[in-house]
Amino acid sequence: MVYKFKVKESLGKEMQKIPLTYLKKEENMKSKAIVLLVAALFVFTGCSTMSKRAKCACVGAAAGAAVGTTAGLIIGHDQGLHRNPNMVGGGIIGGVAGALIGGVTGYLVCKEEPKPPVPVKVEEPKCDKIVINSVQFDFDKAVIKPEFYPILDEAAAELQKPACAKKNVTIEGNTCNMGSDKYNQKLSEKRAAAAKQYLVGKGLSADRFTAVGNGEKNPIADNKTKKGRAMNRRVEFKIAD
Amino acid sequence: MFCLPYLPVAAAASDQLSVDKRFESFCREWLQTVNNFAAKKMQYKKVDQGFIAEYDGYSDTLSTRVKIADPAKKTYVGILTYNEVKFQHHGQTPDAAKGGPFDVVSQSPVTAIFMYRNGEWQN
Repeated sequence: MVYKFKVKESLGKEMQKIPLTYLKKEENMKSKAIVLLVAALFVFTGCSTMSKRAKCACVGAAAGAAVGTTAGLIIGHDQGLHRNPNMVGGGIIGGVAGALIGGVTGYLVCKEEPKPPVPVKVEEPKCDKIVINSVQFDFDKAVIKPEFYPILDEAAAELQKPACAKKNVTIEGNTCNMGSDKYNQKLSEKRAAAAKQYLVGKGLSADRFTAVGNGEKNPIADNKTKKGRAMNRRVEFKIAD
Repeated sequence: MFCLPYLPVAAAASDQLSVDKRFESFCREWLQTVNNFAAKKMQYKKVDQGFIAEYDGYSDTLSTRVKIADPAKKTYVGILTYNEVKFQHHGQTPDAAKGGPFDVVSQSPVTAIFMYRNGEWQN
């Protein structure tokens, strides 16, 4: 049997005769190690688009892979290839181990950048519709009893809030269903006018207000009960858009 | 002995607390009444594929606060804030539309002001 030999020299060491089949295996292993190194470099360049912590892990893994691969190759080479060609695979093993250690270290060392605060959307305050229920008028009267002034004072305060201060307001008077439609229509108009007069007396601009009457047409509760009729006798302040 | 001057203040605070609690339950009952009545004022619109039933109801989420109006007469003003809600449901027939469940189409805030006198909240 004839063996073909390729003579390989290494510095300071005895020339060793290495069988060709072993050299081919070594070449394959070396190629794989180089591919791993190149892959690590690609990964490194791809890290730039990640978050900070992921980037650190990525860079650590790439660096670890490069160092591990290089170390594995050197160790494998120093061990002497002709004694155990599989030691060249140390380059691959070193690369994988280096990537793992480097990646974990990078992840743990780096702290995530604090996220920028989400801008808070400030909503413009809205002007609510205002309903006054408890204001009582004497039966068949459109004069507000003084004990109910505090309710109108509160309504005035609401209408003077910044969100409402420049808005026009429709004051709507409403009645229960006791009496005729025509009678209740007139009564509701008088009650709306009485509420407007009170607010103007409090310093609010008369130009802002329009007083109208709905009569009994707009109930919010059942007129068959005493409670329902009391609820229907009300004044509403509707804010124009 | 040292507490005596504070007794009226404590009594007033206790009164207000009691009035506050009663106002919240008053408001819930008030909103329940108007909501029940509102559902009876259902309106129907014919559309291309059936009918839409809609009514203006009220949200059951609310906020309340109470202010003293006249300490001598023990009268208070209660402010209730809630949302007026437009509800709609689509159906092939008016009855089907009326059956619900209803979706909220729009909401607008309302402030209702009440008075407490003679030991109770006035409707």
